[in-house]
Parts: sequence; C-alpha cells; structure tokens
Amino acid sequence: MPPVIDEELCTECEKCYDVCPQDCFGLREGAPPIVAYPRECWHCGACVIDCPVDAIHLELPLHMQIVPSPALFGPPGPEGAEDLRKAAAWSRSIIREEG
Amino acid sequence: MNELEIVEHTCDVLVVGGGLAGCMAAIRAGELNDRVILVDKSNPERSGCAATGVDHIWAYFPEVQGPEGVSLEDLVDDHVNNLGGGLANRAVVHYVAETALDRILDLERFGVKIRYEDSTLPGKFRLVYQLHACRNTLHYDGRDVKRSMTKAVRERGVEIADRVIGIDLLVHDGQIAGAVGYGTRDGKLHLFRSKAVILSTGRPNRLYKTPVGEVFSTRMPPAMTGDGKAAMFRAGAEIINMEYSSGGYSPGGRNSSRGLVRGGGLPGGSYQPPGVGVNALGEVYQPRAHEMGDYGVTKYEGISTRGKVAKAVGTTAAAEMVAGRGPLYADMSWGSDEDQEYMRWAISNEGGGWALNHIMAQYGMDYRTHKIELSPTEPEHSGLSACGPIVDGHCQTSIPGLYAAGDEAGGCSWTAVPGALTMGYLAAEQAVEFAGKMENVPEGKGEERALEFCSEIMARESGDPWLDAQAFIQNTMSHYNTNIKSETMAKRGLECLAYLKDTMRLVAANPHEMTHCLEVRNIIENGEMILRATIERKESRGFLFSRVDYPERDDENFFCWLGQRKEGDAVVFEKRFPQS
Repeated sequence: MPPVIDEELCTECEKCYDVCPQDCFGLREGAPPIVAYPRECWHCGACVIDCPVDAIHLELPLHMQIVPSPALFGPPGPEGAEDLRKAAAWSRSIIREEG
Repeated sequence: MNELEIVEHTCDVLVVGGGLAGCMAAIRAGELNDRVILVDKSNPERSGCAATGVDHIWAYFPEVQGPEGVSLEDLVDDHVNNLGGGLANRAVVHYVAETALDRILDLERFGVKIRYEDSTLPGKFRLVYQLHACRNTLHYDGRDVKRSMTKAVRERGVEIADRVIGIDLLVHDGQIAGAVGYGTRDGKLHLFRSKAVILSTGRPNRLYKTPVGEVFSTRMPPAMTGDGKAAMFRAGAEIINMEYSSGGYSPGGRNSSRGLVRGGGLPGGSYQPPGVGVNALGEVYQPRAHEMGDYGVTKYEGISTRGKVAKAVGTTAAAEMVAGRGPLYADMSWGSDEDQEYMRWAISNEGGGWALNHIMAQYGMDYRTHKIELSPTEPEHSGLSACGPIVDGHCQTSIPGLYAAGDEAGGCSWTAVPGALTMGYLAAEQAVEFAGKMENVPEGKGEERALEFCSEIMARESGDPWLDAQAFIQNTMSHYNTNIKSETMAKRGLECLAYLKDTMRLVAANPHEMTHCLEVRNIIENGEMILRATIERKESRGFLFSRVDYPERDDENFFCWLGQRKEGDAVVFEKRFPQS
C-alpha cells in the first residue's frame, strides 16, 4: 500500500512519523517504522520528500493506478511552431519584445 | 484506554489550525506578543492544503497590472462580481488584494524562492492567468512553503502544540475564553485558556463518497474535517454559506488524476504552457488560452473569465462528455524541452504534484509521452463556496475575541492562498489588540461535551468502528445532497444524521482512532449545517447551488447570505448582507 520503506536504507530517524499529516506510521523498537494505517495515506509525498536518505517510495493500490494513455502531439512541428513557441514563452514569463 | 487526563495551557493568543493562515497568524502574533500557542492536528511543517506545496498565489502586482490598465479597485470588482457572484465580503477581499504582495515578500524573507532569472517581468516574477481577468497569479517554489513558515513560527517564540485536534471552544459570558483539544497521540484532553482565539482549520471535507472509493483519497486534504466550523457552531457563532458546493462528480472531471494532485489546472486558461484538452477522438476541445487577450479577456467586463473562454472555445468539458466524446485528457506533450521543464517544475510545487511526478516516474510515464485522463472529483465545500462564520472586515466572528482566517472564514469567496496569508496576518493583529485590553485570561467552560463524548467511547469494550459512521455520513450526503437537492431529500438527510447520532456506539482502541471519532462528530455537525442551509435557500444559484424544487434564481428574496446559529435547542436562520 502507499508508502514503502526500504529497510536497508532506513536509519530510524523517525522523520516520516514526525511529518505525516495523517499519522499513518507506527514506530517499532529497534526497527524501521511500519505503515500502521495504509488506507489513511493520501499520497501527499511528505514522507518521500522529507526522508533524509530517500528510503521511501509511494505505491498506488491497484484500484487507484493510472492507466497509461499515449500522448498525441510530441515536440512542436514546423506549422505554426513559431507562434506556439512565443505563446509558450509568454506562459513562462519570458517575453522578449521583437525590435 | 484509561481515564482521560486533562492538561491546561494558558496564553494570550491561541491559533487553532496550522495551515497557511494559521502559520501566518502565529508568525504575526509572535512578533507582537510572547504568549502565543499554535495548535495543529498534525505537524505544521506538512499540514493543510499546502502540506506538500501550493504553486500559485494571486495578488495585485502594480508594475504588471498598471500597464494592463487594471487598478486595485478593478481587481476587487472583478473578484467580488466574477468569483463572488456579487456576494463576497468586499472589505476582506479588498484587504487581501491590497496586501497579498506584502505577504508574498514575507515568504521571500522566510526563505521561499519567488523570483527567476529568466523572467522578463518586473520583479522577475513568473505570473500567469488563473482566477482574474489580468495576469496576476504568481508561480513559485511552493513545495516546502510550510517548512519555511513553521521555521518562522518557531523563530518568533511561538509554542507549537502539534498532534492536537481542536474540538470545542471555551466561552465565558458570551466571549471567547480558549479552546479544547485532544492529543492525537498522547490521548490527553488539552484545555487552552486564552484571551483571544484565531480559528484556521480550513474547509470541511470527508462529507461525500470519493470516486475512487477510498475515504482518504480526496482532492482536498482528508485531514480537513470542519473542526473549526463545528466547534464555532456549537459555541453559538453564526455560520453562512454551508449550502454551496462545487465539483459533484461532474462528468467533465478535472486534472486531479484521481485526487492525487490538488490543482495542476486544465490546459486552457491555466498554467501548463504545452497543454491542451483533448477528447477521446483525438480532437483538441480546449486549445491553449494562456494569452487571455486571444479571447478578448482583458479587464473584467461583466462575464466570468471562464464563461468567456468557454464561449469562445465553443464547448466545455461536460458538453464533450455528454456528446459522447469522452473520456477527456490533458495532453501536455507538445512544447519545447524548456516548456516541459517549466511545467514539471510548476506541478511539482502544487499540492500532491511532486508525488504525482514521483508515481508516474515509477510507471515509466511522463507528460511528454502520456496524456492524463481527467477524473471526476467529489463535491467540495471549497474556496468558492466560502462557507464558515460570518466575519466583519477584520476577521472578527460573531463571538467577541474569536477570529477566523483563510478558508475557515465565511463569505470571502476564493481568496485562497493570499486570503490565508493576509487574513492570518490581520486576525493576528486584531487578536493581539483584543488580548491587550484584558488583565487576565477568562475562566471559560466548554469542555464538558467533549469529555462526555470521549468518556463514553473509552468505556466501551465493543461497538461501531468509526469508519462505519464515516461511511454512513457519506452515504447520506452523497445521496440526499448531491445531484438531486430538494426540501424532502434534505429533511430525510437530517433524519438520517439524527439516527446516526442516536444509534452509533463508537469504539476506539487508541488515541489515533479516538481522533477519528472526534472528527466524525465534527463531520456530522457540518453535514447538518449543510442540509439545514439547503432547506433554507429556496432557490437555485448557478452551479454552486441547484435545487429541483426551486430551479430558478430568486434575487429578490435570496440575494444575501443565510446565517445559521444555535439559540438554545433551536437553530435560527437570518438573512445577512455583505457590507458594501
């Protein structure tokens, strides 16, 4: 279920337990934390981000998995590409006035 | 579990709810007063809507809006009329628009990156269109904003009472006297005796069944269970706008990827530079609209921004679905490498977005190679619904000394992140001033109900799991208060919730489960407020409120807020009008 701790990497610093907004983790004496409430995980990623040794990753339960769907467009082609590039640059707050 | 131990705390200013609004309130209060306590049901470093980030803050940027010909008053008009339907607290919206940039600069002082070398805009800000008819939403490094803010809270000597859920208020002679909390890990009852209280517990959530079928997989954080509103209502405060909701399993869906990410936005009119909306036939139904000028949207002109875009585009997500061209996708595969990088960066700073990127990488997916299906979300009593206590222009509720900030407050439609930051700041200044007028902390009462509730649960060996009560509430709200709303349906909903309160015999094996039982108590309170308000508003009002028995809008009788409050055993409704 959602967070998976790599027990080889875990240093038992308890940071995941400390930050989890849903109090999903449980502590064990002399061993890495367990995920005591896996169904209360909302996949915020706080544990993954804050683990100092990157020992945690998220796994989606089967019924929440994203079914892949190939994209249609890919990198910009020649037609209208310049206009589209200008528009995209605008969206990125990079507007250079043409002289 | 044994007897409930009671721990007492005393302070001048108490902030309950450590999200964006609560942290900003604690920061400002801490600068002015040295007896401030911040209560949070988890850890403020990763709590609330912005737990793992929020990538957008709207404000008034004079150096950009000026050349656009948009004044501060224009922005406020746009907000009140366009987003608020004319029924927003204008004084608060004005304050938010006026001071949001100051609070953004505070974030910069707290170590948050808000400027970018490649930006060609004044201030080197990255600004996009989001809510308003001008370019005024800041994109920034928001993923760890809560960490930076919590550090600022600590640096000001504020005591953080984390892992404590706020459950009731302490009141003395009709004036605030503090709050009651329960330790989610220590299992103790915490009485916070305080001269002034700021509530900032956000929006009420977990009322409706989720499309993915998991209670905690909501788009908005599942931790938000309307604790503040429930406590305030029980203490006699007046609450408005509970009848409004958005979302509601809309067939068009949104780019939240099964509730995994808070926002991310749809390609059109939002902030994915290489994105478009495509239907199942491979047709682009929502082209890029980042330059709102393409659709003639510059200054607010009496029609909603989104309405104008939809009209120009010629279709909407829901219309595509109804015509049989679904499912719908956000296709973000076009664009240069820089565009892809910008988009990944923006999404990684939005709540849950970093986790979405992390999860997609594991499946070998990215935005260059895969389109993202738009998924329906559960109904929300969200920023646009603006439900909560009625407040004046200074965040003061109807109980003296009690303030509400951010999404907690009612009537401040879609003030969102800048609302949280600015209202937190304002409420703090008000609370400190209020506290400064009294010598002693008032001796308040209000813990009896919570004590009774917890003691009954602790005395049980067996009974109903809290999750069953949660499911009962969601069955009730999803059936009686979603697609078909009417007086008879809402009344039946109230009957069902009354049955639940009378019949449930909750058990809790530990403080974690007791916390969920206390949340159930609060979710029921919010559900009842919602159903009563549904009955009271005898009209329909746009997409936020639609009744089959009163399908027409009735401005003559209902162009107002409907405030509800307890008077003894009864609930009284009164029409309220926003101050102009």
